Amino acid sequence: MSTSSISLGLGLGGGKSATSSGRPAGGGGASFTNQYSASLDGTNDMVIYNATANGVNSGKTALGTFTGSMSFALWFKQSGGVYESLVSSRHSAWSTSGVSGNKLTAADGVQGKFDIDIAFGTTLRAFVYDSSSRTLLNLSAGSVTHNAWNFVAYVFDQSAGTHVVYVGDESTAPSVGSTLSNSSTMEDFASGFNVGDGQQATFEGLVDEFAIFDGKALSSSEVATIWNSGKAFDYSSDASLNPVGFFRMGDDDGGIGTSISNSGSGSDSADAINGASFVSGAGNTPGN
Amino acid sequence: MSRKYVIIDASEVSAVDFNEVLETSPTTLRYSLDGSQTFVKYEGETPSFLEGKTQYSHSEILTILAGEDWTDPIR
Repeated sequence: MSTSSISLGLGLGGGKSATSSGRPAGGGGASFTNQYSASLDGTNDMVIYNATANGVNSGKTALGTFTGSMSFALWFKQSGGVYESLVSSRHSAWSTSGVSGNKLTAADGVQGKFDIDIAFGTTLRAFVYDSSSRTLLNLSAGSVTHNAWNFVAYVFDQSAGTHVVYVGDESTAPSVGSTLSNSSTMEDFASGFNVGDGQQATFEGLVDEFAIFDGKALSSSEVATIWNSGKAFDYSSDASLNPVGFFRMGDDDGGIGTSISNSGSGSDSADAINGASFVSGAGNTPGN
Repeated sequence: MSRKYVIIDASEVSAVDFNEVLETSPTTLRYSLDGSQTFVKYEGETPSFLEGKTQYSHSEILTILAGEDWTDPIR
């Protein structure tokens, strides 16, 4: 990966980057740019939002109940790995050492509910635990491109009883990669989430623009809006979307520190841990 | 600056100065599946408590972590 890597905690000079919201220039308000993403080294770097009472950076305010429809979207660029986790929910009952709190088959008996991973750099997979049947449901969620920016949106529509994964990239609009007819809810997200960690090995590569919605199943047109022709989307330009969490991986924090501000309606920040770093430069953000 | 990685026994965690490694805290360490080992990473000079131990590069540690002692993925 060609990176301009700056360890968190060090300053970074501010080169200007292209406005990527798609809004007309001079439209008023601060310009929306996407200069940074989070770089994860594949060993134990990750981004966490810990709304449990246990572990590092615990006690965040829950982003919602996640007992009904929900969605999330993000960009990622994977550089390594055979099986690597991308996003997982945490679990309120987790109380042992370690950061994960999410394992689908945890040694401590805690049964996590959700994990999305990448197999062999090309196949996105999502695992949802069905509490009724006590089985792990596997969505073969679609093809992704290794070492390139991919866009993923996950939508659970409670009224329709479906879990839908949309996949796109910088030049290809998102389309449905997989649909699962199942009404399992995603309430583990009330305990938070991990980006770059889950049941599989930790993620190696870049992640950016993670947004999460509670009580909302994104429509296909909304997913296309968020994809924004292959660039980061400025959620403030569309009040109807209103994510509870929108974590820009450095852009709201000047590319320094370990706190990742929430630009959604929620108040608490996420955290980059174990040496996760913000990076900038060509190829290190979607659309740039 | 390249990172260096060192595997340590779980019993040695109490000796780690988390101001000198990139891991956030003892609770964020990743352990081997049997819980007997973990690792830490650092940039620059080797912390004194890691001197004399085997250092791995990024690619080397990734190979180790992909092994069955550290990873039990869903296939």
